[in-house]
Amino acid sequence: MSRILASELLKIRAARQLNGLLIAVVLLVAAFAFANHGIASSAQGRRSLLLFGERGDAIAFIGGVIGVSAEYRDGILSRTLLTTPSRTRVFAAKILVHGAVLGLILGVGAALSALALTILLVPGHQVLVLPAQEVAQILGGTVGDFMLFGAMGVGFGTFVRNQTVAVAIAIVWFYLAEYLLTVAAPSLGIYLPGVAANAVVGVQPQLEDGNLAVRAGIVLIVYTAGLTIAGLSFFRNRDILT
Amino acid sequence: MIRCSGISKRFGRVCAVDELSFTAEQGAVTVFLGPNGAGKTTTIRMLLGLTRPGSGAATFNGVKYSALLNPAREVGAVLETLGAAPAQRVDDYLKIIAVGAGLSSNRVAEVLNQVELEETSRHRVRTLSLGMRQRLALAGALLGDPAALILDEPANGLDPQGIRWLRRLLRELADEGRAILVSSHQLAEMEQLADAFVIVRQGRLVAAGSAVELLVVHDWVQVRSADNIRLQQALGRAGLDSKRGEGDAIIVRGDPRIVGLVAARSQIAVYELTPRHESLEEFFLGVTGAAELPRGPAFLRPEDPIWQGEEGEIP
Repeated sequence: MSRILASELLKIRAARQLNGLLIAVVLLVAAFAFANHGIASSAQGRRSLLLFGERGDAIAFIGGVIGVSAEYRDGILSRTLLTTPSRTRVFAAKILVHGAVLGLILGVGAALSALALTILLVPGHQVLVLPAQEVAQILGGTVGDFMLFGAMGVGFGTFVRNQTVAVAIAIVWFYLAEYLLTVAAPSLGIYLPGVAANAVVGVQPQLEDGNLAVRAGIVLIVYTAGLTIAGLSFFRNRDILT
Repeated sequence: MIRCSGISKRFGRVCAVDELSFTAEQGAVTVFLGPNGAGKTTTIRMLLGLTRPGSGAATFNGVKYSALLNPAREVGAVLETLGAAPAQRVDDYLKIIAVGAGLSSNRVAEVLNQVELEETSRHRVRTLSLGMRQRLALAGALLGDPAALILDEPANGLDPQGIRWLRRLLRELADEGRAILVSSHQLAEMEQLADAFVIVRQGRLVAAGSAVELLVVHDWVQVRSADNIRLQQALGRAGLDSKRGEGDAIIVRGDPRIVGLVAARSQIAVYELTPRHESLEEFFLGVTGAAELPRGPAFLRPEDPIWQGEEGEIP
């Protein structure tokens, strides 16, 4: 298993895929932060700026999708299976590397970007006044979200082989469909992955529901497990034709 | 030894491979031929465990690819696509394979040298020509110094020098004792290289055997005689197929010595008896259904017992 993990890590580095995704995350976080820089004067505003890091989790999902769909497209998956014929091992390595490791790196990048931008945009660059526990939840939750979203992306990318279609679906879902669904049926909210991710980092503290973040975390884990199991089942049984 | 035993594969209603059986022996280059859509790539993918056969089994020395302990050390493969991200560097492509297979990174430089790509080791894959990509794919297949090689159209994109280089390399590798299975459309080039052929059409085996068996036995003869009709009847009784050729000639598939014997025993004067060697291309087009030449179910040789009868007795 260590060989295939090392091989998958080398792939990410060699293809410069990570650089592109990291730049996309930083730019997205910066875009949200600069578009809302006026809110930095209040404590709640500073908190919101920190939370913008979590908005990039869809990019971790896309990273996971690309980790699989690009391999179908370029025939890399066949090459990988020639070296490691066990499909379960290959899929597990992809979940760990293209999902969790890539998500971890992107999540740390997003959290640090949000922190840096918050400090940059606060008048006088004052030290954050938010409680340390809250900052830890936001930044830690952001990293955790990214890792789970990356793994979900791998599972999803196994179903939707067309990379363009998969990425388009991800963007539309996370940045439009979930918003519309939440407006149409607010009770659905916590059960949608994007909204659950918001809850994990504490976007809705006014609900004063101490278990909300935990419940949201469980929702995300269930999504991740579901997509992983379904993806593995699909991957184990399909013919690799490219 | 590479062996396919009755493998079949259907994609929906389309039968891509139908009960295909053949072997590729150690120390020999077996050329896998067939028209487009004949099922060659599907067969190769079934051999390599990428596509699951509907029935039958594909094995390497009796072991399925998926059960090989270290497949890169036992089987090297070149597929239709290189299997590299366009932004990858040449040596990174090979390092990824080497790391995955637990091979020494020293092998990367060795195989790059073997395929004459050492100067492009830091080039990105997207900058390589098609011929260079084929060499790189071959380098990937050779990394584990495997006992068997399966190559799907490795000559695609190679210039004449490249094809000559490939032919020489494959010959050397086979002479070292490897089993090599090559699918190709470069018929003239493969004719010079092949020790054996496997020819498929519409997923079915139409011919298989050594190059000597297939190409020599399938030679044909152009004959002009005083009585073509009677000669054709006699040839037919001898199990030789014939058909009208150009002008007053007839074309007979078989050994010219046998044709001469049949004519002599039938007391038919023969004006011309010209042996013609059938090229691989002609043979290929013949067995895959596109040839004008006649096909005979039986090919008799002078030493066959049927020729040991009484003087004047026409079999």
